[in-house]
Amino acid sequence: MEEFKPKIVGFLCNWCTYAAADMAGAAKTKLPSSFNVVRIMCSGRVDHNLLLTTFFNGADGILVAG
Amino acid sequence: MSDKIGIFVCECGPNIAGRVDIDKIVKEISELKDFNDKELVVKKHKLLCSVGGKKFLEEEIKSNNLTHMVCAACSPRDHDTTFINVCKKTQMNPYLYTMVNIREHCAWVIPDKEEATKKAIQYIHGGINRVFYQEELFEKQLESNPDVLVIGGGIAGIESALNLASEERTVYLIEKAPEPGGKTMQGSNLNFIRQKTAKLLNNPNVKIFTNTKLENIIGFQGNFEIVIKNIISNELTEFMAGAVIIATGYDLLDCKGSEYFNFTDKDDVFSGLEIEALMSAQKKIVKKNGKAPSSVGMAHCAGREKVGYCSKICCNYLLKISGYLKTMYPDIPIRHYVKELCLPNKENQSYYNEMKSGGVEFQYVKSLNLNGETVNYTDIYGNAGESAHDMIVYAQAMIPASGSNELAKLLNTDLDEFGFYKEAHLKIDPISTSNDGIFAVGAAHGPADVTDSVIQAKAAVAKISVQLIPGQKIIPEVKVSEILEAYCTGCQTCLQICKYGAIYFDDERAVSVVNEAVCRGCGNCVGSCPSGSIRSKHFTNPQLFQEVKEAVR
Ligand SMILES: Cc1cc2nc3c(=O)[nH]c(=O)nc-3n(C[C@H](O)[C@H](O)[C@H](O)COP(=O)(O)OP(=O)(O)OC[C@H]3O[C@@H](n4cnc5c(N)ncnc54)[C@H](O)[C@@H]3O)c2cc1C
Ligand code: SF4
Ligand code: SF4
Ligand code: SF4
Repeated sequence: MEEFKPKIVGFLCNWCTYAAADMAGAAKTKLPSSFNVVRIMCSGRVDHNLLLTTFFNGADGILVAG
Repeated sequence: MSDKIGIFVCECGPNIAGRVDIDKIVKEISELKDFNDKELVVKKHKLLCSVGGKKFLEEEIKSNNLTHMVCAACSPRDHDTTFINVCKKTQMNPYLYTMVNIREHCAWVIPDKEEATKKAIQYIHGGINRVFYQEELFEKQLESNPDVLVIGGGIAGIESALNLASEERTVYLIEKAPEPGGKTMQGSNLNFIRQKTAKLLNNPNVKIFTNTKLENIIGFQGNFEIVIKNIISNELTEFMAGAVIIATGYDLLDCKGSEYFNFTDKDDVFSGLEIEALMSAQKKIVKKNGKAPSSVGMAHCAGREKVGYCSKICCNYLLKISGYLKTMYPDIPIRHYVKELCLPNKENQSYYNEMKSGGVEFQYVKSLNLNGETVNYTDIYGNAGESAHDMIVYAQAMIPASGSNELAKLLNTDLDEFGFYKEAHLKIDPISTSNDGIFAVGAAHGPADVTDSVIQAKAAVAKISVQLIPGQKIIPEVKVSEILEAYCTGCQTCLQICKYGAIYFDDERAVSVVNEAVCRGCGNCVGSCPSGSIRSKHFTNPQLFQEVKEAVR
């Protein structure tokens, strides 16, 4: 059986967690290729519509970080 | 005109090119089929952000008549503005461009080259989808307001106002007390503060409002809308300013009757400030019955453990008071009870030496209790001691000015763990706050003497002078939110959510409206609106869906 690789969408705040992900990148931290970053200007921007549409499109998990 | 999109993949020297297959990316993106009527121009470049790279992009946009652009490179936090500025030199609207991060979130974090290449293609695909959903946005220019609001009329506020006011820059100074001057005006050396205050009152470019507090403020650096209120008449005054200086100073910890300080108003126990007031009014230090003291105890550090920091100024002024006493009554015993002596400035050590050689005693203690004018203490060896005096002078901890919580909330700035205004960076940006255009100076930051307060005031003045040049233009945020009136139910949830006060309620039409000049485009209101009637421009749901769709394909 193929290994389950959950597709995760991370909604990251430009000012903190997106910046942190940049630093993680600069430190060459390993990330699974099934993790996807979407930049937003504040984690408070995320509404139910965005979350549901993300699941409907096939995401296995969502990370809202800010 | 049909859409023509340029997709530029950056190698970033070996940074990206070493970890993904750039040629494969260019090839596969060129072959994408789902943009039927749209023409794609796909190219790679060694260093897009270099002078040559920017020239390259500019020429590509112009010669190909591009309508949209995607730059697949590093983090937009690094170079979004670089490429926006390139767009501004061309016919293309900068908001029809987007940046895709294939470096930090792809090439650098996915070790397998093939997998990283696939991921980069996926991210770029999402970016292309997104850019077609973007809309042209147009920046507006606004005249930056050079005026400054100073809150607090102590030495820090006065010094700020005097150095900022000019024919081109009005300073509004608000002071909650009936007179400006602050704590220094209650001191023993009034010459300099009286001179400064007189200068202030005579300066035609400083507008002073006493008995006044800040009522409301919205906006951002260069464009603050301010309302102040006279606390006696309740009269409101409105004006605009480009920057704010918080100079609200400090209060003193009330020690009377506290656990370790057992005394009443009848006892000859005086705070430093009470002695300063005596000196200033009567030019001498006497007991409450008007008689000279015969033995004085000086209690340092009252409340230091409780507040958790050293107040920096107290050892200094208790020494100063010892000096006054020595001059007035050369023969009486004076004894300081000290936990840890703090003599920060260059002049203080010699003053201390002078007092010591003049017979002033320094008793180092672990703990200390006051019972009226009697001091009970444990010395540093653990031995208990008791000394009876007929006058005690004590130094209280400096604490945040009352009302700091409310003021910080209005100004949207942070307070530190002690309740003082928090520095943007304690070491390298100590007079800025967490909110651009709002500065804090003097004891509002924490314990400070007059010299510190003046230095900080002048530093804020320098910053404002270079940041807020009269006649300068500012460009407010264009990626703002808008409320679709037809869907808005008027529930006003968004009004509570917006931290910047950018939303107001239109009573007549019973809907909420975004004030675009104040909105920062954070999108918090979008997430809060139960009826989905708010759009955050450049981060609309359809735009984000395009990225998401590709991400989870
Ligand atoms: C006993 C004693 C002796 C001292 N001796 C010396 C000395 O010899 N040398 C020395 O360098 N320092 C001395 N100091 C320290 C000195 O008092 C301070 O360094 C100085 O007052 C700090 O100035 P400031 O303007 O920051 O604050 P403050 O003097 O406290 O002024 C703040 C002003 O802001 C006003 N304000 C507060 N909140 C608001 C609000 N919300 N809205 C409007 N207005 C507001 C207050 O009414 C006040 O007028 C002494 C302090 C004490 C207690
Ligand atoms: S634009 Fe970004 S990715 Fe390209 S060379 Fe400059 S830093 Fe590197
Ligand atoms: S939260 Fe939405 S519905 Fe409620 S007032 Fe604001 S925009 Fe209107
Ligand atoms: S996006 Fe909404 S919450 Fe954010 S500043 Fe603008 S109006 Fe306020």
